[in-house]
Amino acid sequence: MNSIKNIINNSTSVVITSLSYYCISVANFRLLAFSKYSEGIHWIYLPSGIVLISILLFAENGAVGIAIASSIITQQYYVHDDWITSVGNGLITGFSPLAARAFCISKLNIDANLNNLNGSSLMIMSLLFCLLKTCMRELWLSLRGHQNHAQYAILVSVVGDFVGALAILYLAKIIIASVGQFRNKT
Amino acid sequence: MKRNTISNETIRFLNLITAIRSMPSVPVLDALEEKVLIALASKWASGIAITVMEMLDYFTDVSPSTVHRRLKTLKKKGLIALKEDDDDNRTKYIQPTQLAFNVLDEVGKCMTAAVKMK
Repeated sequence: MNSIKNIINNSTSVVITSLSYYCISVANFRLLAFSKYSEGIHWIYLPSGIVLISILLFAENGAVGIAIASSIITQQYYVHDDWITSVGNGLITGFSPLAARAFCISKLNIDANLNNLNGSSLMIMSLLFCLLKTCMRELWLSLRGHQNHAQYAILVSVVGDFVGALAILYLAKIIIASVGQFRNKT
Repeated sequence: MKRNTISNETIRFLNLITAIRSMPSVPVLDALEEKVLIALASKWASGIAITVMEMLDYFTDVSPSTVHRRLKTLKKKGLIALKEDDDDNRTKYIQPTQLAFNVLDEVGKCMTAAVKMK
């Protein structure tokens, strides 16, 4: 009975992560098209905020969810008809933040349940997430012959991911504060 | 017997919310709001109930209308609450909210840390 419950819980977190990553990615491409620097690289990339939150909350399940959605997004928007590149890119997008999470947990005195996590360590984490993901992704894409030739591509990608992560975190902060104020009134 | 357990995701969610709330942000209070709040805190600490009218005349260097505007913004920000007098509903007492206690508590912690550093 417990194992069935676990499977349902795990599947739910994978589906929630996948759907939110996919929807935010599509919204980013459509609504923030002006922030596009070159193919696949934006000055503001909101899905990185979803990656950060999902990996922190759901860990491995979050990584699986991100990997699935990112593979689909890569196939749809960047490398049509090359599933190996898409799946590889998805796995890097999903699992490199998991490695960054493990690193932060060991080095920043945070435990697996995020006890001792604070604003500063959250920002350090998000920067590390962005750096690791971008470097591994660019390496993989160049190995697969899809290297981005735009100047400063890696730098813009890291900046875009970090700005996107901060935008999502501060949006969450505003929502949390608003909910608190609303509850104080009622 | 059914055991109540809190899942790891719930603990992580609560810790994440706390971390997000502690992220740096622009100052919540302006200088005059802080001044008004500190004046109120000294009254509350002495156990003196202070009314809006008394507070308007409290500062010699700030006009009553300016103080009144700041009281309104402090109320809007959830730091103070107004309670009508039981006998005279024109008299309103200024009372601290839990948020005000939290803010003052943080200020106290900063002061203690600063003294320790010295």
